[in-house]
Amino acid sequence: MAVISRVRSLVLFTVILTTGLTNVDAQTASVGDEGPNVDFAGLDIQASAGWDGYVDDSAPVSFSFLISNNSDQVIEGTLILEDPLNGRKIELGEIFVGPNSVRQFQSIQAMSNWYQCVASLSGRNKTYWRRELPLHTGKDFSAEINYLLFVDDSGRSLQLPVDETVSNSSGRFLPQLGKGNPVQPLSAKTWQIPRHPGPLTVVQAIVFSEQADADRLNDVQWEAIAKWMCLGGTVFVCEKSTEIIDRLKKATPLEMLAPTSFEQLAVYRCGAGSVRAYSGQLFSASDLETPRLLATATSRLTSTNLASMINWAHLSWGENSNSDVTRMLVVTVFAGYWLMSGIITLMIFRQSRRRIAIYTLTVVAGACVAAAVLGGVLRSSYGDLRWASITQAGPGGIVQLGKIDVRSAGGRNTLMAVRGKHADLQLMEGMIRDPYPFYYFGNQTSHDAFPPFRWHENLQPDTSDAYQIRVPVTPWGQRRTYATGYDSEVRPLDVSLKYEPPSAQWAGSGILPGKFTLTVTSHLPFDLAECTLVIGRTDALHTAGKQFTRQGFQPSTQVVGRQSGVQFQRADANERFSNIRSSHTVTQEFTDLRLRYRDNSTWGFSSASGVDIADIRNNARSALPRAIDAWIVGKLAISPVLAIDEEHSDFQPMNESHLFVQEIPAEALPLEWLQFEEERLQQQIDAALKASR
Amino acid sequence: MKAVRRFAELFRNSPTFGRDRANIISGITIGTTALLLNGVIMMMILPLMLDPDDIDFRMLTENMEFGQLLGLILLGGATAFATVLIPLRLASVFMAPRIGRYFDQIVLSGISPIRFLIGKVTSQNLFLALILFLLLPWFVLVLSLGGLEWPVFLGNLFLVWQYCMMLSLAMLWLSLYLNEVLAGLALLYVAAVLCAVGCAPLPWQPFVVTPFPALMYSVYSAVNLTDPELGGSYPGIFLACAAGMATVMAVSLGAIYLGPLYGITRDNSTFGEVVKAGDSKRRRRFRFRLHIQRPSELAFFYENRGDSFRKYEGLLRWGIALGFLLIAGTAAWSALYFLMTRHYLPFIRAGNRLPWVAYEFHTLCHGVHGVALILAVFLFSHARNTTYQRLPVIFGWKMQVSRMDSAAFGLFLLISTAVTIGIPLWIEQSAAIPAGVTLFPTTEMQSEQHVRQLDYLRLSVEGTLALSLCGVAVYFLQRTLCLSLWMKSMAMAVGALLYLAACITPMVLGAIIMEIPQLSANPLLKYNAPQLAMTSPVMFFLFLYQEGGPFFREGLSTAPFYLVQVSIIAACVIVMRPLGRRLRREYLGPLRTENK
Repeated sequence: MAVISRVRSLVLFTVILTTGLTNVDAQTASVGDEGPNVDFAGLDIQASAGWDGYVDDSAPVSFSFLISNNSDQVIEGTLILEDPLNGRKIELGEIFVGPNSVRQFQSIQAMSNWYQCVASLSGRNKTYWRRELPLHTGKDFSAEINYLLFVDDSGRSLQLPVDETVSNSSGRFLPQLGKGNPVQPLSAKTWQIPRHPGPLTVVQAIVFSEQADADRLNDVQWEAIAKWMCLGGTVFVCEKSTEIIDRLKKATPLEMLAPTSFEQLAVYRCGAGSVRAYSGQLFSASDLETPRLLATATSRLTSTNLASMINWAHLSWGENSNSDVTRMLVVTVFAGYWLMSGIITLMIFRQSRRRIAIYTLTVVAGACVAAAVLGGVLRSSYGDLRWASITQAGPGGIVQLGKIDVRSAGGRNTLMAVRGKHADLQLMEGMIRDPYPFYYFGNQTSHDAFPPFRWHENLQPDTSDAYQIRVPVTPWGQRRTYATGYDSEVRPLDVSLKYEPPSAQWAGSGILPGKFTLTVTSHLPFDLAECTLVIGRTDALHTAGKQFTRQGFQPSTQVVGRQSGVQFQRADANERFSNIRSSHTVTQEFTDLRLRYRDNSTWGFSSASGVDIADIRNNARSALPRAIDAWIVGKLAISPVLAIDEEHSDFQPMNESHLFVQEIPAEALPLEWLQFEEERLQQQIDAALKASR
Repeated sequence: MKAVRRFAELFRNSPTFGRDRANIISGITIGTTALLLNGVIMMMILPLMLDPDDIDFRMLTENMEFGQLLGLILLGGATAFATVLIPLRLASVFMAPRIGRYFDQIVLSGISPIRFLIGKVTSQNLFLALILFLLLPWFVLVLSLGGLEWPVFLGNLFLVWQYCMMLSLAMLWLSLYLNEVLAGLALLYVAAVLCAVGCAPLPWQPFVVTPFPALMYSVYSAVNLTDPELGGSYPGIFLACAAGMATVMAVSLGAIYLGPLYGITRDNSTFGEVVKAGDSKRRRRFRFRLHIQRPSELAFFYENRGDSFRKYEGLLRWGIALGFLLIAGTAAWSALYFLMTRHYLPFIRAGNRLPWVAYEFHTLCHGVHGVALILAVFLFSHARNTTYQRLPVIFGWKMQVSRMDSAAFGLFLLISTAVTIGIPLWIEQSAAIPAGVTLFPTTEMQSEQHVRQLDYLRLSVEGTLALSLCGVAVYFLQRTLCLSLWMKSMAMAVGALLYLAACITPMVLGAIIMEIPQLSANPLLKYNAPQLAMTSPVMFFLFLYQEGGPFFREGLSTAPFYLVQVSIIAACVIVMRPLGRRLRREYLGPLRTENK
């Protein structure tokens, strides 16, 4: 073995020598005289990536730096992130910190395909500070766990009640079987809260302690939290922290409703999310109930949100478009030139030299003219744009999230702009891959968080409700952007759902027994077409013990969790009823709705480009946190909030599709149905547990 | 002015240039060129158009203008095209006249080789012009798309032109020594490898004899893969490429002018087919002696060369060969010194462990010495028709090729041996000891059964001397074979096979005796098996590096190795004497012209 190792190292040594000694530079650069960590006297930098060691590289990652300069020198440099393994490098920005001052710096980056992340603050000829920020710590975000982010500057960690009998080193709260998802508490400081809601979408809830000071966060950070809340996040605050509630009310782009009582908390509904005020204390030896209350409420939060729904939208590029036309033009012109200059010239080899010369000159001159015209066409061509959006109505207004794919037509198409109230537009990094159920991707699930992006500044800051960004796109290449808009002036549907249980005990499966009466009154300024009532239900089964139970590995059964020999399965019923016109009321009765379990026959996507009701049905997988959920889904003819700003974009819209969704909140569901379903689920769990013993 | 005019005349009056100029506008030439060239360019562009979202393409196209990228593709495509076509176009330079049986007329016309060959080089300009002309529509597209960096584009265009000239000259140089088809394939292979390694994103690119380092510079600088601290700027890489290619061009031109050293003896003293006594009774396939005929015809052809270097031919030829070896050796030792003093010793000083650094260092030293000796063996030996040729060295003083070979090899052997022993000691004194490290430690090599001391000082000195002795043995073997063979490369191949057999056979026999229990049970065999194996140079060096295994106990005598090497040398000397005497008789007397 010694000989083999020596031979191997000798070969390596020789390779290093013969390749110009360059690899040694790379090897020794990170372990040179200074070592991997570099510090500067008087400079203290706290840096973090992600949340409390958890980093989701399939979502935007928040990088936060708190830079304290305790020296007498002015520190001026550039903050850089580097991946030494694949040579990636991102300059975050210039940093200027005066003597004895503190500066915080934040950045949002897409870290897909990064293996290692080394952050450094470098001046002209000096590195002041360097640290590795771990991206792959073994702590990954899971779709089956709800995350509760505790924001506090005192350094305390939130202790949730844990089951002592179960090995649980992560401090995770495990709810009663079938009553929700486990809850993982995470800690963050106020300076780590990002400027955009994207990085926050990996967590389901944020909790502020009763001592939290609203002024520790600036307006931009509050706005990010408020927008994240409108997208489906939940903020827990102490009921005495009225300042925080007021700041959120002020920051939210939607209207925050008056509080109602739900699950022993005062709930301020706002969009798809809410502020929930608790009355007790988080860190009191005598009050253990408040952390349990928060943990229980978090465990029952759904991880489904607008971002996870829009991820399913499939944008097809199969139709004719500018990019296809220009591509064909280029191929045609040069294939023609290739034939004329090559094949034809060979065929006329018997002609005189003079004729061959004239022919060649003519062909080349003609091809030059055609190339010049082609270049002009490519330069002036507009790129193609296709988009799909989902608009979610909720208390306080509507939120629209659009997935916009752009494709260059061969020219320099680089600008993209949207208009709409509180519009935001971000460019997704990495490869575009729609979630096709290819066998080699397994049962690919939707990602619940916002897709990874590097935050782009608005290039039109002076124009209200407009957002323009630069989209670096290769000729004929494709990029994906995500746009968000909020409208507080639109009232959601008034929905009333009544339930009559079946007259006799129902023993069959595959049917949602009983009669539902749905009454919908639309206050929307637009019509809804092909409206559908979607009801999701959770079933509990006894596990065979051999199956993978993590979602994404078992395409046939859509298993969403397993504990103690029990697995949970999603089933849904969807029934189309009618169109709903603006200012009209529709009433519809549904009896014994047929349930559909996800299996190979139902797992799939609408073949049409855009977003479809089927996508929502497949994606609305809030099965485990609650026994049931209900949605109204419809199609929109026009986009309600967002619009493509063609004047300021280099891309032309080709087609678009828009969907409307509204969840019927738990408190609005018929109580007798809820009780019925919870009893049924409990019976199924008991039966499964009994079978597993 | 007269010299300039004569130099210009070389290009203007070359018959090969005139013929190529006449043939350039033809359906076949233009059609084939357009078909292949546009095909190459389309093959390079189509992936960008059909799969623009590929992550690697995106990294390029999102960081540089498409026009600039397209410009680089055009020049890269033209370079690739030239790499394939120029060696093929020049394959007919001697083959066509020889197959057409008019090479004797060319020789008799008195045209100088340089004038004959340079026309082929000049005519490649016409071919390059045709390539650029056919690429015009693509250039128009690049211009209309915009984004082209003109200075960079023009610089790259110049390098592509220089590359074409370099390829032509190198091909002609190789054609003097190899059959044109073999020369073309060899050049194609070497050029393709150099182009490929020239594309590598190294902070300091040593392979600057193709335009690719400069072409790729724009790409790598766009994606931040260049290091400005290591001189990575476009002007720097442009100058390096231009200088690298100019050096190859100058060397090739000089070599073409000087020509190969082929002697005329009695066997090849007539132009054309070589005829030997008894040929009429031999089958036709045994009468072909193309390996003698081609060099002989070229030797006749080179009788027409100018007198410029004739007076110093010996000095030039052996001086250049010795100079090349010394420069290459200096570069290798400098690189080793740089590697040790700049990287490894500071790395160890920083507290990192590199337990095998001394072992690897001495192995590399011996490797450099060994490779240098092999090169010297090849360069300082000549085939049977040249060995006893007398060449003017300086001021009309003539010397035999064999003596110059022996003197040059001996000189280089001494220098290389001294350097291989001296430089490690110098690095030890000047760099290692001040750094608190030693390159001559006495370490314990632990095997399964034994713990042995490895003395690096002995390893360095004795290993170098033993290598030198091996070099001498191989050289004598080569020189002996050269007395019988017409091709030096063939002598080298046969010599290598024989020496390899001398290395492997005793080692295998020794291993068989030691590993087979029935044989090793015999005390006589068991005792002598290690001695037998020790006659092999491979086993000797394994023993020296303490890698011999448990059978090679400490204190085992290395005398068998030395004895065998000396025996090889002695045997060669004994065989060389009668062979040499017989060969001398084949050599013709000095030429006598009728006027004298």
